[in-house]
Amino acid sequence: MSKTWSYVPTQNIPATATAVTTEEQNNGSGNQSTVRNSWDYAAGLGREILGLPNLPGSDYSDKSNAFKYGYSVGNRAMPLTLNFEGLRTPVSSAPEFAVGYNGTLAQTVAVDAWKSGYLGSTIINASTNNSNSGDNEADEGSSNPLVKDAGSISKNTENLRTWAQDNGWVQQNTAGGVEQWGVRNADGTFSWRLKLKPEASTREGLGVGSNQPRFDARLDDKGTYINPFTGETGGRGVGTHIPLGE
Amino acid sequence: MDKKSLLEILLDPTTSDAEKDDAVIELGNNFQDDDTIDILIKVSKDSNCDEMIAASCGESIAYIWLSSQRIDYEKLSNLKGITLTEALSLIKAQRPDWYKTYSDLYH
Repeated sequence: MSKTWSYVPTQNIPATATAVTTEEQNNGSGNQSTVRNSWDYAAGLGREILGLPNLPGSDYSDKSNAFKYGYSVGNRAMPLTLNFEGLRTPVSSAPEFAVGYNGTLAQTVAVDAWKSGYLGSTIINASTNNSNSGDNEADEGSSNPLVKDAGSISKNTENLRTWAQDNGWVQQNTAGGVEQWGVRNADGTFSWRLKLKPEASTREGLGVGSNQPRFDARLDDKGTYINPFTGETGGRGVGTHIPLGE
Repeated sequence: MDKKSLLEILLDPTTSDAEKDDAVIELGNNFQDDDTIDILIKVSKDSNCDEMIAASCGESIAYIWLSSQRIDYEKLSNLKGITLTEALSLIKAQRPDWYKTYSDLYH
């Protein structure tokens, strides 16, 4: 989906809103009289992103997932669902989030969207106002790459680690030494987002994608994979066996 | 790529975690049948199975069910730990009707 990013009116933003902590944002426990939780600020943003501002139904937020804002209508079996999932907490500047519609990922964007709640500003064009700055050399091109493909294992590994850290992911290696980055589930289990596999396999039987330094990346545990070098999102085929460099 | 070779990779104690993980992914992507599901369940329940590989097993199992449009709730309910978590997450997101049935049956 191609869409020009433009002004998205924020809703019910109190003029007296003040900074709150990340925990307060997610719990909605800030100054309740004036500062509603950050999910409230997100109301309507998802539909605006899809260019469907008049889509009928009700907004909802799933606070069991601190990074999820949703919109749905329909019965439970076949919901019309739009997920708006930041990789960081809202408001405090999520550098990127995925937008899905009716079970199909529409796009992943890198914008400074969540600041809108407090600053009263807008969703900003990702291609021209990418807030994902830092040391990972994130590109600012129109194709929305999130990490620059430097061509070398060492540099790409460094950039991907920075990308993971910027997303708030934590590192957990396997006993066999595979470097993983991800998040902790509520039950304490680790949910991976990035796996670095720098050693090329020489085994017969695996696909050619395994015979090279490679990595896997995904945005969630719901089937949304990403190639951070291109910004392309999709299924497993998009985010597995990505060449790590030479 | 053939299933037999992938199974040998999974069973070989000298196989690296990265290779096992890739083998589990390839099984889920290329061999979407009941036999593959049983293999992945067995691998995930091996006490020596790393959590990363167990997670990939759960994802591959759910991926096969979603692709084939058929699910075995009993097998789903017998998954453990991160394998179950991964499978349920994918199913909940992509087939909420299946998730509701599972919840009704087992909760």
